[in-house]
Amino acid sequence: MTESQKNGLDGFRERYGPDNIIEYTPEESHLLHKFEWCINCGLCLAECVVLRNLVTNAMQYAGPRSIGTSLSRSTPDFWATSDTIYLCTMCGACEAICPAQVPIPEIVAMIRSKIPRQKDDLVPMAHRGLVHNLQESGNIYGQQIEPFAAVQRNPEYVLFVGCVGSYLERESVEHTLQLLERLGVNFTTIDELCCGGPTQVAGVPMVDSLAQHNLTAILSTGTSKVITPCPRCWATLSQHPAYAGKLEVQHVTQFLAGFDWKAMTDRVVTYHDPCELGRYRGEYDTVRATLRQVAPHFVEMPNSRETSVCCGAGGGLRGVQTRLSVQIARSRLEEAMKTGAEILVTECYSCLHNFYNARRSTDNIELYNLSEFLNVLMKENTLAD
Amino acid sequence: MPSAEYEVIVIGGGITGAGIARDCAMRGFKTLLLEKKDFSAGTTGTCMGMLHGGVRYMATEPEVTKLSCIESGIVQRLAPHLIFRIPWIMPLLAGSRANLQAFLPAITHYDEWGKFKNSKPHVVLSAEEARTLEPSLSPDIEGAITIDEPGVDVFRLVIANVISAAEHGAEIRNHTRVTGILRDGNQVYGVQTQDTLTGEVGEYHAAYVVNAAGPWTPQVAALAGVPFKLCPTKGIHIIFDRRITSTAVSGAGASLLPHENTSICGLTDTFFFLDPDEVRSNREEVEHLLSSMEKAIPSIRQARIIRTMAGVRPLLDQPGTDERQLTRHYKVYDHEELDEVRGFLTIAGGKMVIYRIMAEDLTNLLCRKLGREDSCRTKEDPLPGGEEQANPTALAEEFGLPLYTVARVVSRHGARARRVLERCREEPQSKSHVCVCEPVTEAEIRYAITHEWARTLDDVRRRTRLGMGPCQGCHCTKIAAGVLVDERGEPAKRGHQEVLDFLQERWKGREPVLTGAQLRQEELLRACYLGVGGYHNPALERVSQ
Amino acid sequence: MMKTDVLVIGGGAAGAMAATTAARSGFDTTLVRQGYGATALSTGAVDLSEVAEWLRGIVTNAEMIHPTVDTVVADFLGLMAEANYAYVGSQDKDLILINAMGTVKSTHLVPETMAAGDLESIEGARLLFVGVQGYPDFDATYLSKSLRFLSDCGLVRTCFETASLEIEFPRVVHTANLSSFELAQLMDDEEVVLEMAKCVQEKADLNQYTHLALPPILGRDNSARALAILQDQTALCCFEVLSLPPSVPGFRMQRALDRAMKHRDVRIIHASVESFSESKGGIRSVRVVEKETEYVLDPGVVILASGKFIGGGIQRTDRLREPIFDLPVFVDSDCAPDAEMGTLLAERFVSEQRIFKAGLQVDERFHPVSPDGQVIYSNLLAAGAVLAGYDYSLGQGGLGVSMVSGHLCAQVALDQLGGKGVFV
Repeated sequence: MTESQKNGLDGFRERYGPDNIIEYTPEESHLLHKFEWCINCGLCLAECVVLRNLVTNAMQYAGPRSIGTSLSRSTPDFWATSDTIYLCTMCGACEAICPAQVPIPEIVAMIRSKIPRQKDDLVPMAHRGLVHNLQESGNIYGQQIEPFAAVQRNPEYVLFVGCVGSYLERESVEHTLQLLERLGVNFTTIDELCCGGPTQVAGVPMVDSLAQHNLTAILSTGTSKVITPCPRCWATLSQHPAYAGKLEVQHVTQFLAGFDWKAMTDRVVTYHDPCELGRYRGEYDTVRATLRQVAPHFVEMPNSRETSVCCGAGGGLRGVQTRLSVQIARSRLEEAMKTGAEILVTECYSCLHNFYNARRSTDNIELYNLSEFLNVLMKENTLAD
Repeated sequence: MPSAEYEVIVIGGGITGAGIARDCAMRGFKTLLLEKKDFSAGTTGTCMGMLHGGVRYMATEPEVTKLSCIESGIVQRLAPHLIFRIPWIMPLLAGSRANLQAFLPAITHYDEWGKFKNSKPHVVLSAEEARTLEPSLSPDIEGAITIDEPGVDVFRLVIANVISAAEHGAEIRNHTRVTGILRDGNQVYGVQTQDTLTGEVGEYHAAYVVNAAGPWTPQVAALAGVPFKLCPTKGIHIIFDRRITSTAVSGAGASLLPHENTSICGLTDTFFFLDPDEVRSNREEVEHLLSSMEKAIPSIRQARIIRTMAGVRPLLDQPGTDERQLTRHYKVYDHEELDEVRGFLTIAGGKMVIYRIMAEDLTNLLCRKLGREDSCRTKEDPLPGGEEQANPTALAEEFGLPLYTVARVVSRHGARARRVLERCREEPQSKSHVCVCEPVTEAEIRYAITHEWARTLDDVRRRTRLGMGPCQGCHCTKIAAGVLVDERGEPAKRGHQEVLDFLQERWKGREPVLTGAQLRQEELLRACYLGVGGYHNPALERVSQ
Repeated sequence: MMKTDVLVIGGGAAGAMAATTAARSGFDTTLVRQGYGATALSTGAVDLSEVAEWLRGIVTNAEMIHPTVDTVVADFLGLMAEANYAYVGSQDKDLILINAMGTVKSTHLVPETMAAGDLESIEGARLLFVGVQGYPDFDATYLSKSLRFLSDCGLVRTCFETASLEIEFPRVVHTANLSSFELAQLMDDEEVVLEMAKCVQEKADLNQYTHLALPPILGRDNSARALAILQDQTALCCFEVLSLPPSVPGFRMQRALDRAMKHRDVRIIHASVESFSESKGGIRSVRVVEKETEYVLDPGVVILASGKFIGGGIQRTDRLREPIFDLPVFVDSDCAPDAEMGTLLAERFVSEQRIFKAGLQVDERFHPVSPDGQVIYSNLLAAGAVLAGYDYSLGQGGLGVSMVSGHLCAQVALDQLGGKGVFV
């Protein structure tokens, strides 16, 4: 059919795609009325972790204020934000301080979701690579790896590890597996594919085959209860429409809070709230309850809970601007060390990995995920006995 | 007292006057353009910003629609950087699906003429498809047809014409009010003027005085002792802080269209015989637009309205006609023939999109009157900025500016964007965003002042969109005032006067629609300029004058 | 269910003063807040000029007004000192400070970083305005000219001379779009402050001047140190001007109030109030939600300090609402939530706009009342900008009223709970 004859959505998109005209989704159309509340007050600039780390850098970043009051207003021009919009870690510190709680990370996700259709070549290599990897190998790294060997029949829980843990922090994962075994938890690992969560960060649609595979792999074990150490997997598996309510998902820190812990170390410990656990889900207390039990000498960093500072790995920044991302992790690590703590605990493989990247051999700080830490302590205490 | 001899004096710096000044200057007439306030500060600045054909006139005045389509195509070629496409969804509201068949022949006909203006042919959509493209559409619609209209930055279109006129030798004066038209018997030979900012008076002589003052044409004609009547109608628009739809949507008597980085909802048509300087939107009109729009977009009242604008259309006198049925034809009035007053022409009526041919017709008449044979070149020669396409990505990299900022500069200045950004090389601090919302760099503001006759903050606003975003000048007004007085070498007290004037001007447009999210902004704005700045102190106002 | 004696909603000046006053008397105090609001956006200077006038409408004993304000001032100064962000000033001395717009404002309590800028006490001074290249929020040339103009035409009583210069700020790579917070963060570093002082010294003969008028960027956390270093290095009196948003001094003040609250063991919850229950004419429980976590609080007394439009304490879509407890909203002293905006707005921008006097009407013990004067909930109080009757942008209140009302609410709360609070 010629252009003049085609009707329907195809006809429309064919005519108007070249002008970068892209529709809002129903959620976006609704959320706009929250995005609109920015009053250009600039308070967000006080908390933006990217701005705080760029001030002596050659890169420019418009900051969350501009995202709210400027860059998000004209859909056909979203492609032109591509030199800024991928620098956001989507940490939500801006939203937390905002007088109207304008959801900047959601604005960023919206803008990023339009750019591939407008000018795909402006999507950073790292994001395009990520999508390619997901399609080809079912994980964000495009690698082949051994699944974990903690397979059980008739489990009560599935432990969903996630890509970052499986590929970059295997040692930490092994500790978590051991811990669950020690606690007598009836769980199994599965042959996972990526949960698909990173597609939102890259601004591309969820890869359906990922969710299909994961759901089958999980449900075929006979349970729909999932525990995961990765906050993004937690969010995706419990909230994304592709998994829509089919699973009962807990973050591992929530699960572990259900056990009785006793003091196991007198070393000074501090905790980093991962953005996607803390600000995104409001989960601050369960972890702390557990940590305070095992480590009575727990200290808070000056910026914690709602004002926790992002580790720099969020929003895909680690792939897009690795150096900046690690610099941000470095700042946070220094804040941790300044508290006098020798141990920094978190529960997010991305945070953990970025802190490892930022740590120097001269630094006196050990890094653990909570579930890893608990296993290490239990091991030490057993040996001591 | 400045005085000079011209061949043509054009009174009125809206789209028509600017177009005439350009055409006259291009044909070699020694031309003076006079505007009492600022270019496009009148009706032109309050229109919907489209170069459309006008589906609504197809039934009554198809020749106007066709001419509009043809001229739209021409103007688009002259200034492609100012143009953006607006797809338009016309939802079939409850019960009207049956009318679709009756509608289609007219739409198909419009498609044919649409080719003149590079518009895409219509698309028929089911209700579900329409709601996929536009989720905010009412669940009660039964389908939709889409058409396609070109949107334009009308302020920049006018300025481009003015710049072109100046480059062809025209003399340009804004903030210059015509206080008298000089007659010697039945021969008009010039004008008396006063600069409304400095008070300076002037007198200029010309072979022909052209009255292109839009809704003020009767007042200007009266200065020449010539009777002249219009049938002026008022139109208002509501402006939202961002694109809330991706296409334009027609409601029941109102339309919402995404326009650059805002959304505009209009329009109204009511007779208005009062002073066009005093036209204001009122709350009934605003309510009328919102309730009309609600039928197509039920959630429209949740959207953040930032301001409203009101203008008066200078439509031709048609006694006894309903305000919605008034003609959109234009007319050139030769007062020598009509009133035996020589050296004086008036032009009125028409639509923004056909300004060029209106100017061409009038200038052709001037040529006949003054024995000139030059032919019109306004169809061929691109407008300033339209000479070629600028590459925002390359420019952003070259000057070290954010891509979005440069894309906006290019959308205003086109091929001349480089000239605007040049300052950034020597003065890197001029890369700073003075207006964060749009955004607008200091370099562009200074350019508007030095190259585009901007003398007040409101002038700067028209050229750069300073203060036109969601915060409505909260952030930028104070900064821009300092830049203005610095670039113009004016004393600091001018800066304070500008802040007061600009805030008052913006307030006028905001007051009729202030509520919701904009109230939060308003509290912040007042806390800054009044609470901290103390601009409500009458003593400050007094000493700033 | 979490029991608490005093529940404060809103963490700005009003809420913070209420919470610290309650906590100091030993009561279990919880503060619920979402983000920052008008207080963090303010200049950080506290204007007390209209507090007495406002108090006259609330308290019966006029003799107690001045001492009450003195008490609150002393409290506030004490809190700030504890929080390592010292303030100076009193209600009896008007300070005239320069703002970043080039005009002046009268105020009373200021952080030390602004104290030297009182124009009333620097007759004959020679001010050097120091701008930063690429930082558009402080136009040193314009400020210098403007202050000169205000002095020449008598709008400012004292005479002084002004000059200006612009420095290239140390360590920054870009000389454009610098924001207050970025520069302030740099100034937390001693080395940077020393380098900055050097930049100034290289550009001007400082012997010609008596004062340095600085942008409001003297550090996020270490402003006292930055001030001390600059004064030491330049041998001049230095001061920050009053800031507009994004305001580092406003943010500092808010953070200092936060520290003061934590110091007093105020439990701070970042959440929004979703619902409440009542019983026997009082608030029984309040449910607050933060993302997926929820708390149910069982308060003795609730103090609502949720702000006006900026903070979301009062909202208007088609009508005026108080969104948490659905209390009747007054404009000035009329209960008129449905009032047409046309009746609440004036034609001139600088005129009073009655909409900004919208809020809650309270009795003399700060209980929100209904149109017929009845107390709505026996254990609910309100403080700060959520109150009707004053427009702080027109100098009718501001942080002064917020703090005093917050303090007095806490006194009432303590009284109601059987505490030792002494009420006016």
